[in-house]
Formats: sequence, structure tokens, C-alpha cells
Amino acid sequence: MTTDNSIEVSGVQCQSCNGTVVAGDRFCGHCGKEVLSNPESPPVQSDVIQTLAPTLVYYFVTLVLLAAYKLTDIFPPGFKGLAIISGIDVIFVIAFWAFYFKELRHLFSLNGLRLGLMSLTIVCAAIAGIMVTGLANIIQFSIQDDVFYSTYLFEDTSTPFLWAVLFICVQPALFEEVTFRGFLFSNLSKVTSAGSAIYITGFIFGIIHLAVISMLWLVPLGLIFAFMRMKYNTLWYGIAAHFTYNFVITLIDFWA
Amino acid sequence: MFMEFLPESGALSPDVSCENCTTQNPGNRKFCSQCSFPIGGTDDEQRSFRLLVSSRKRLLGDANDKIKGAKTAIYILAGIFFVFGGIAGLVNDDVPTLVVNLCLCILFLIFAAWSTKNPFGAILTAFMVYLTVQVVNAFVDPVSIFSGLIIKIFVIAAFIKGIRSAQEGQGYLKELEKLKAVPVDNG
Repeated sequence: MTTDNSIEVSGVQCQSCNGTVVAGDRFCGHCGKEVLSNPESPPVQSDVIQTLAPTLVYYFVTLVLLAAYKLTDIFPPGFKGLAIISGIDVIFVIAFWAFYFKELRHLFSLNGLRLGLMSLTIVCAAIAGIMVTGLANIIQFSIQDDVFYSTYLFEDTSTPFLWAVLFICVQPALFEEVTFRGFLFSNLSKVTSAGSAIYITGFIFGIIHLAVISMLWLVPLGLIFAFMRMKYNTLWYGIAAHFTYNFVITLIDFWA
Repeated sequence: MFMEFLPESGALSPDVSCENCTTQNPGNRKFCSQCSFPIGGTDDEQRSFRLLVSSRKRLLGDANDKIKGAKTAIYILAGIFFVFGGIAGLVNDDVPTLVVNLCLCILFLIFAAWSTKNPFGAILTAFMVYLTVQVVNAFVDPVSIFSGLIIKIFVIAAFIKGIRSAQEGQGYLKELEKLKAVPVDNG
């Protein structure tokens, strides 16, 4: 938290020329230098596209990979293809995660987690899952596409439900949160406000699922997850909500 | 240090009003405490302050022009999606393509509206959605990469310029706010 400028510099000397500075002064009256509340150097103006390169590279590579999986026959059908693309995606995310490890570490802290808020998040996510499944049924839309892997893909495995939970619920909940609310959010925060970072990550989270209708609920979900990441400075609520939401959809798909 | 300022001014020297931001400053000050205008400076120093302000204003103006260019590109894309969807739906009876294109058209209209409030976020997001559409099209129909290539290059260039300018513009605006040289004061 930054304290108010005027309070902090009240009755002190200018850091540049040692002239007296009065409370409320934004510049030193003697040398014209700015009176800074925190002596840290101002952010360096660097090229925005260069700063955003990790975001653009991650997004483009993942996009091509997912589009190849969804729209072509390059990957083998069924469980095998799904395992391959998930594997590639996980390795790719881990590489970025490792690169941003220090920056992201505090987002995994368990300190300050509130049990009540966590329960509320999980309940809301479950309700959202039920509502979206209902809405998708009404508009005759297969929700299978936006959790990316349809549950029938797991039919030829020994324990379909277990594998479905692993690939549809656990893996996306962890790795999509680390990606969108983790390093993409961090990277975007370097060039823009937290508010913009929420909107941008929310939208690109929605569109990378490559299902236009699903954006109706994926974008709001992405915005909520990003908002919670900013407000509480942790990924755990997002991971819990994401897991619950996908889990409810998978449950309904298996038993309804 | 204390003595240094006493002789030339003293406590009796009257306050001076800054001609840049009208703040009242003690008479012994060389610079305005609120906007750093050299109230006690030479003509040259005052001129260079005004030059700095006008150069920042010009850069901000240029940035705003490029943002407008990107906004135009977003509107053009919304129009293209609308026409393309309309042709697919009405001529070829291809309802899914119609729905997808209408959704994209609405999405880009949202981005255009959003770009007034948050140019950086809106243009960057629009750029990424546009890239997504292009990649999907390339997978569905590889020949489509080359159709309308000139428009694509124009759009991508407008987006990249817009993203850069939107971010630089934020910096210029902040700087001008610091120098109290922004015509519209947003408190």
C-alpha cells in the first residue's frame, strides 16, 4: 500500500538539492525535481510489443496446437490424441511457469486463505456449472466442446470417470489458472493496469477454447477468475472454482 | 543550507502565482511546487518548459490518431464479418457460419466501443481475437490465408500501431497530468 504523497514528504528535504519541501508539494521549488513518495526509479518505458512477447508467443503456439487438434486429423483419435495434446500443453505451460516461477510463487501461498470464501466460491462454481449446462441444453448446444475433451473420449480407458476427472477437471483447473491468471496476467500487468489485465485475460481465456457460442459463459468465467486473482492475490480460489465448474459439468455428462 | 535561501527572499517576499497552473508559490521558489514550471526561471527556461508540454501534446495527438486508425480497423472487421455471415446465411444457407460471423461482428463492435474507454485493452484483445480467427480459417481452409492479404496486412499493422500508441499515450497523458497541462482535468 502506498501512503499519500503529501503525508510522507511533509517537512522533509528534497532528495536532489536538499532544499525544503512543504507538505503537498509535487515538485521541489528550488531545483524543479519531482518529489517522489517512494525513491524507487520510475518504470522504464520499453517497447510494449517486446514486453508482451511471452504472452503473444504462448497464445499463438497454444492456439495453433489446439486448432490443429480440433480442426485436423493430425492427432490420433480417442484417448491417445487427447493424451498427446494434453502432454504437450502441460510441458509448454510448465516451461513458462518455470520462467515466471519467482513472480508467481506468492500466488500459491496458503496464507490468508479464507475457508468461508473458499466454500462460497465452490458453491457458486457448482451452481454456475449447473446453470451453464442447462442453458447449453436449452440452446441445443453441445457443451462438450468448451471443456475441450468430450467425455466419450475416455470410454476406451479402464476407468473412464477417473481419467475424465484428471484430464477435464484437474489438469485445466491447475494449468489454465497458472497460464491465464498466472503468467499471462503478470506479463500484462507490466504494461497495463490490473483492470485491463482482467479484461484481456478474460477474453483470451474465452476465445482460445475455439467455440464461439461458449464465449457467452467462458468470458464471464474468465473475468471472474481474473478478478478473484487480483482481489485476493492468490490462484487458489480460481483453481477451486475452475475445478468445481468442470467437475460438475463432467458429473452431469456421465450421469444424466 | 537554510541561509542560502534567506537573503534573496526572506519571509516577506510575496507569493507568486504560477502562470501554468495558477498555484500560489512562495516568492523565493524557482519552480512551481505543483507543476514544476520555472516561475523564477529565465525566459529560455520557461520557453523550454512550454516546448516540452507542446511536444508531449503533439506526441499524444499522434498516438490518438493511431488509436483511431486501429478503431477504424475494428469497425471494418465488424463490417466484414457481418457481410460474410450474411452471404453465408442468406445465399448458401450456412446457418452455423452465419451465427459465428454475427457473434464475431457483435464482439468487434464491443471492442470498438470499449476502445474509447480503454484503447490498450480493447485493441490488444481485438488483435488476439483476429489472430485466432485467422488461424482457425487457415486450418479449415488453407487457401484462405492468401485471400484479402492486403486487408489483413493493413489490419495487423493498424492493430500493432494502435497497441503501441495506446500504451505510449498513457505515458504521455500521465506526464502531461503531472505538468498540469491537460485541458480536461479528471481529478
